[in-house]
Amino acid sequence: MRKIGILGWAETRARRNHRSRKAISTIMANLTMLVIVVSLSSLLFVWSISSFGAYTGGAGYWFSSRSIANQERPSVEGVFFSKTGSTNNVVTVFVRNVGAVPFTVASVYLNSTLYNIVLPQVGVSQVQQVQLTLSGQLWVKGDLQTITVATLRGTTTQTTWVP
Amino acid sequence: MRFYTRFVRAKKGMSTIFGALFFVILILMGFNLMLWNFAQFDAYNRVITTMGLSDQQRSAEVLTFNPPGIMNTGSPFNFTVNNIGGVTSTIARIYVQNLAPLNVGSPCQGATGCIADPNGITTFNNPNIKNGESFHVVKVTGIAIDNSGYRIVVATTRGNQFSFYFPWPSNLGGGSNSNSTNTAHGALDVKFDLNSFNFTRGTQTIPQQGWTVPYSTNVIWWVKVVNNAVNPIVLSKYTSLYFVCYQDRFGAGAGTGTCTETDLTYVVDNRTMNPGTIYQYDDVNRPYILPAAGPNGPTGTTTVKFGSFCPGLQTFDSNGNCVSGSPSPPQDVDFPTPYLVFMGFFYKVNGVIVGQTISFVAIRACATYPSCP
Repeated sequence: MRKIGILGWAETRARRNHRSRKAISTIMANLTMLVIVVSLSSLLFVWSISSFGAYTGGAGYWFSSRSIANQERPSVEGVFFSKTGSTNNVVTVFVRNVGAVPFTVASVYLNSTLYNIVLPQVGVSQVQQVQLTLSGQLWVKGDLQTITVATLRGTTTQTTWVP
Repeated sequence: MRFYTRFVRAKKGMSTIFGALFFVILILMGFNLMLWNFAQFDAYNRVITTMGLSDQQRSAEVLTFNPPGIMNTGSPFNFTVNNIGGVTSTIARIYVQNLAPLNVGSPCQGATGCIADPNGITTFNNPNIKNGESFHVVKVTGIAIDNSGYRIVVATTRGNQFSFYFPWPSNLGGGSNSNSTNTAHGALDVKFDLNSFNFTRGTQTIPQQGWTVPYSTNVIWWVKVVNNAVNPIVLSKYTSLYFVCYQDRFGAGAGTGTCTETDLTYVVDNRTMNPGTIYQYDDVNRPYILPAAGPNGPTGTTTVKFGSFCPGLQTFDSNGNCVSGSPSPPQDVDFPTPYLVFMGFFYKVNGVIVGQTISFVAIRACATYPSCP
């Protein structure tokens, strides 16, 4: 008859435990692989989310800004050359918005010389008058004057006029 | 209960499900991104297409004007326009600028010239011109125009500008409605007649014909020129007459010492009357300006005077070289012999510097002047 008692059970348990340690490496390997896979998947997930977000943010900005900029059409429709006293130093430029969105004239170049302009927005189909007081150059009767108008969004238009 | 137990015991398949879910999410995100990209690109392309169509219509706008440009002076004035483009055009504004620099008191000078706007006090009617329409009359009210030179710029709502000049130029260089003979093919021209080439010497103030002249005598040459171009001409200080004593220069006597000279005579200021007082030519502050041609040809003649050894604001030094300074050194022809006179005109027209040679006249310098047999 087999003895059953607390000591016998503990003896039997300890013997079995000792024998079962042979499989622990498999479990540890599985656990390790599981941790690696989960952590890498999480990293991949986080990276893809942030990448998609960054892409949509950048591309969205590009699409929207270029879409708006592409609808700008400044047109220099009139230029008058006048004097201060006897000095040929005043040029008045009329810029019309023939595009589909309002724009703001940021700068005007006369013969490659920059004149920074602070002007209100030009609405669609509206005309803005820009008066330049020349410095470092004068307009000359009969000379070709190249006028470039640039908007804040980077659209430029270039025209030539003869006083 | 049994189902729950089985579910709890079935943990072995969970990783596959989670993995599949994970990849499905990733694929959906990618698909979503692709759709978003398509939508954005489509919207962008729609803008490009719309604006491209607008640009196409803009480039299809062509307006022309009919002589005499403005049909009547005063206010209101009318002009006619033809739409030979492919789309209906609408005039947005009309800019009128007076181009005559010396015409003080004429309208439309100054910083803003004259502007006719549909919403302004100075206005115009009939702004819409259908494609194919000819002689469409536009009436401008509020600007009293006269016969001095104007540039009229018609701006359309699509951003095009079309312009014409008034008075209407009848020829664009080389043409003539004068009885005298043209001698050139460019914008600047000399009408060859008995009085187109004169000179003064000594203290003379009234020029005389220059076909025969005294030799070795300082003279001022007076040459009448006209402008056939639609833009004014501004003469450069390098404009000059080039005298070549052709008989011995080019003929059998070349190099024999009888006449081996050429004389270069530069333009001088129009205040100069004779060699006694020569005013230097300042092409910046006091240039010769030949007015633009009008509907009936050149706007009068301009007398250009020559007589300086050096160009512009120069004199000659002790070595005979031209250096900055004054007074203007005089010039003459040194030998009693025939000379060919070539006129080298340098000028600015419409902002472009042009050089033009007019092989114009032959003169005789003689020892027995004024009797030159």
